[in-house]
Amino acid sequence: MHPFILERPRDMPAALALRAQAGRNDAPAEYIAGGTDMMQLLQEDVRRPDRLVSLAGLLDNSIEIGPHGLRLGAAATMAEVAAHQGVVEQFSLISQALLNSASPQVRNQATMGGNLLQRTRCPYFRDIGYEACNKRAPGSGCAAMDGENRWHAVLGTSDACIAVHPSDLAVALVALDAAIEIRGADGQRTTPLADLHRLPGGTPHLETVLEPGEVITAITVPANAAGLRSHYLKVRDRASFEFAVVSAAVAIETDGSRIRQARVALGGVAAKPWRLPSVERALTGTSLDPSELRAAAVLAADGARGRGHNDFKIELMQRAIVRAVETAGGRA
Amino acid sequence: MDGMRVKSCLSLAALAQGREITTIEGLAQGEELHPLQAAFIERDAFQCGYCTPGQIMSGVACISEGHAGSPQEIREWMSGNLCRCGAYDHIVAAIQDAASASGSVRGG
Ligand SMILES: Cc1cc2nc3c(=O)[nH]c(=O)nc-3n(C[C@H](O)[C@H](O)[C@H](O)COP(=O)(O)OP(=O)(O)OC[C@H]3O[C@@H](n4cnc5c(N)ncnc54)[C@H](O)[C@@H]3O)c2cc1C
Ligand code: SF4
Ligand code: FES
Repeated sequence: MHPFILERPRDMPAALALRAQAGRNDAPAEYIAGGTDMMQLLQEDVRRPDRLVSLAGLLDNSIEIGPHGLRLGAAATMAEVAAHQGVVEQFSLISQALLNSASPQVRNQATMGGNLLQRTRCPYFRDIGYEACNKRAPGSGCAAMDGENRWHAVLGTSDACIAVHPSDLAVALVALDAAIEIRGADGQRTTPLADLHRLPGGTPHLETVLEPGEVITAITVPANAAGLRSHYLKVRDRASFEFAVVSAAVAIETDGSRIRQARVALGGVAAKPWRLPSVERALTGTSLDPSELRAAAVLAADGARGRGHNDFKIELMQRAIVRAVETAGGRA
Repeated sequence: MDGMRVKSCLSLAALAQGREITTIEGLAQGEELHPLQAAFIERDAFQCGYCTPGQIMSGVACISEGHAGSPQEIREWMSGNLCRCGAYDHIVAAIQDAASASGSVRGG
């Protein structure tokens, strides 16, 4: 592990100043929150900051539900949010996604902000024994392209990188139109969570739209996402304590046996949570009949491209959507 | 840490300053084993013993959180603790024993 200095700034402006000078991700100074992703990457020498700037005690950890919807402080832990009664009752999709993530120990430590900014689980990114990884070492190539790419992306990929973003939480939140509050040295701004992560293009090392030093301070979910019938379906290689091969977050409002509105997002298929407006439109007004659902789910494959081992994901994600809508609607 | 189960390998000691930490060494009361330690012996819930401290610490939390109501629930809430020897059935049995002894089993 590269030696580092641990900074415990007294307040947020001090933290922002320490980090802001350092540049974009994989910079000489990095924030650490719960540490569950950062520590692994430090131990594997994938990340080598000279300074770690601790956010402990500097960020809000409250969970509030009011007329404007849900607000999650960035320091709230996965365990706290998953168990919060209002979240369970009104924003069940979020709680389901969290309880299907990681393990109880990790959920006790890991924060909302860190979860959204966790790095890909691409095994080549996480193992410095492989030289080729455009995300870790820009311009070095991509070992996954012709390697073991069973876990990799089929949507929004580029020839430079086919990594997926591993967060379950982010998929549920994007389906619910969540936004994030961001604070930087120059003040605050808000952006839709769907715009936080970038697609790889030719620069897979640039993962988010955050400016150097900016912190996520909170996540908000609008009130109109409350009370929908929802299901988070996570398909994985073992029953628990595993990342998604494919996941589908679905929230619907039904009118008798017809779908009045639908929100659908996929995980495990792209470098960001993948919202599917075309599928949502096709689902609107249909019944819960599997053949009708299937006709809508097919649209998810628009533009999908496998790289060999991960070809099966294109079919799997469509089936996952059908199953998740059926379950949300009470049919499966 | 502060009564919650966490992963020591993912925690910085410097950030644990001033917080209360319990490890496997602190579970017994003098010579008297913690009920879950005793249950692990009774149920033969380990082979090589490598995973055992983590299993027991996590199991104590699993019970106190109220997540030990059924074998299925125990399996899900203990899923972050892997056992290379595959002693899972006995681990689940030991946690069930200790949970019913402590009366924290929900829903019977
Ligand atoms: C064994 C294991 C299994 C896992 N399984 C799953 C799973 O199934 N599903 C899933 O979704 N996740 C899973 N995870 C990932 C886990 O959810 C993340 O590690 C965790 O959410 C990261 O949060 P943290 O607070 O620990 O972040 P840290 O490790 O502290 O930080 C992660 C990154 O975010 C940055 N950061 C943190 N907070 C902020 C902030 N507020 N503003 C700006 N930057 C910030 C840090 O600089 C760092 O780059 C798993 C992790 C482990 C260890
Ligand atoms: S898929 Fe992306 S993260 Fe994985 S090896 Fe290729 S460039 Fe690196
Ligand atoms: S007893 Fe050997 S790893 Fe669990």
